[in-house]
Amino acid sequence: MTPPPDDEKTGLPGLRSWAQVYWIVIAVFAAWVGLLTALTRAFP
Amino acid sequence: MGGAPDRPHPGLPVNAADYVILVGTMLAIAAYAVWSTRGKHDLRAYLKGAEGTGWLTIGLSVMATQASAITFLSTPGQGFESGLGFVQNYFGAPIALIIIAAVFLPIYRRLRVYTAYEYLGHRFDPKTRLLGAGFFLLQRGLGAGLTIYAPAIVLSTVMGWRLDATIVCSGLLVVLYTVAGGCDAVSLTQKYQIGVIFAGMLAAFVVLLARLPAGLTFTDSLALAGGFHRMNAVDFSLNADRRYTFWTGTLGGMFLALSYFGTDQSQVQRYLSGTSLRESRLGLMFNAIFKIPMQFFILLLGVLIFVFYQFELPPVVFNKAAWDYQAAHGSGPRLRALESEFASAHGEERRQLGAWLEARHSGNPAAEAAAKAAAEAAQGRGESVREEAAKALRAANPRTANDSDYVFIRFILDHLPHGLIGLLVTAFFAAALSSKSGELNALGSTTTIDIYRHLVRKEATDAHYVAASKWFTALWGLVAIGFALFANLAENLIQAVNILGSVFYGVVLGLFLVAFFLRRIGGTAVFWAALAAQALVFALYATLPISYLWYNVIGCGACMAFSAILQLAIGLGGAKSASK
Repeated sequence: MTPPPDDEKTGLPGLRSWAQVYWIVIAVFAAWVGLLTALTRAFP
Repeated sequence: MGGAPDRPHPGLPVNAADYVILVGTMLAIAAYAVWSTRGKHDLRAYLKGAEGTGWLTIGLSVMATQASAITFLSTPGQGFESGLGFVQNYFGAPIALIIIAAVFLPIYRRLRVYTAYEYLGHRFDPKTRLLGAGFFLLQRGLGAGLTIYAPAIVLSTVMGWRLDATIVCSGLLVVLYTVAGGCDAVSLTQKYQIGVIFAGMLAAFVVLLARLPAGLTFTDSLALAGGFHRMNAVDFSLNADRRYTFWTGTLGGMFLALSYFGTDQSQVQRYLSGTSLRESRLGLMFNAIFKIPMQFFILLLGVLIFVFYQFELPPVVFNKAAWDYQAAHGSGPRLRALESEFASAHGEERRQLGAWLEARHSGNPAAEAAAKAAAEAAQGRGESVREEAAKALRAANPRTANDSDYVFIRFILDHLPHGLIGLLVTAFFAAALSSKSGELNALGSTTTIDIYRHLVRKEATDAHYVAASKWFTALWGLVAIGFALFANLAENLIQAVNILGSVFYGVVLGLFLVAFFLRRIGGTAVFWAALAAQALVFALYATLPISYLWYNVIGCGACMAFSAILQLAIGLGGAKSASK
């Protein structure tokens, strides 16, 4: 079940593990929800 | 405020330049697909691609398969009609894609499966594999019909083509190039097709901004849209009757996305073509990041078209062909009366919006509020007229699609210059071809691998299975064309596709989640549990007025819970197959 070690490398600068990549994606998602919420409140 | 922009070419939908762009691009894509994949008789290359595909191609291919012509035709109409709220439908996608990248993908790749349902056979037993494949073939077979029908009905109406001829011609074109090209051709051409689509949508956005009235800033436009409730992008209310809220989108949408991207072969086939696990994962993360902004941008386009038409007199209904037909066949006096009433309401609204803009720029909140209230009242009168007219047209011809589906194409034909019209119509056809080819490719693969090779012909050469896959792809194409010829929709098209998916996807996802996470449950328990859960979803869909997104959660939860209960009843000793 454990993937080969090479597959664990993301190849992305500054992001050594896939967990870090996933956290970045979640942060981007949260930023989008925040921006859309702000947009909703700014133009009621 | 300035005058409303003039229509550059009233009454002339498309010219020779537009047709050259449309036909030239479509034929070039089809020819490229056939040429680039000629002579492939290796089953792995035909069904999974050459396994040399990079993350960007995978990411764009996943995006192109998901974003069909319906997305680009119908979503701006959804923004025009109801505002930005539909974007919440996609809130669950990033989380779902992370789960797929972390859990589903390594298992699929380790087992080197051709289809997602092969994994169910490894984990459970042949009958559960067949059940998963059967659900996919049924749901996606109908869905493929819808993806042919939906753009065809809108494009045939506005271009003046015959609906049946449009369905048959566009259907046959995609069947031919998918049969010839296989998975590699689908992925490669999708990359270029999505480029055409983005170019077209961006061009439409820029032209729309340029044609907004002078003096109306971008912020004014958003404020105006907000005044008409078109800027409610996020709704945190817990009201179960509301179709799109943060909760339905994040939870229901996550289950829908998990099922669609994780277990629907039309998507699984796209990312299994990656050179490595890394490439496939990055392709999925590309979609996790860009899916929400893409949908937001398309909806915003619809919202800005709404703003544009507050200053420019729109048609009473956007389906001009249906209007003209009814006007010429006995309903003329009634429609002319409605038109006059609508123009009067729009004129009043426009006058009030002028006063609103002036008050807003001069900082007079009391006058601003008064003008806004008067404009809203006038807009409400106009909307009632529109609804009455749309109802009359629909009563005369039930095959008329929801009027909001015609908003964007009508705007394009009336207000964009020639050349750009050709580019946009090409973009719609490119989107139709890209998603249809992905679906047909997956339907052909699943029928070959999970039905034909599994049940009918277990030992044969690769060339034999490639030939079988080509025949099955063609057969599914013909089924989809047949379904499209008899389809009839009351829903907005983009919603119809999501509703169809939601009715089946929850249970399929339940099968896979049991497989991944409930290791002590065996094939017999999950098989009967899935059938019971699907029956429950059908019954609830027929009787319960809740957002369709919840059926993804209910179907999945019911399948998992029933599986656990049944396994307990059978006895945990019966779950030996779980360890396979």
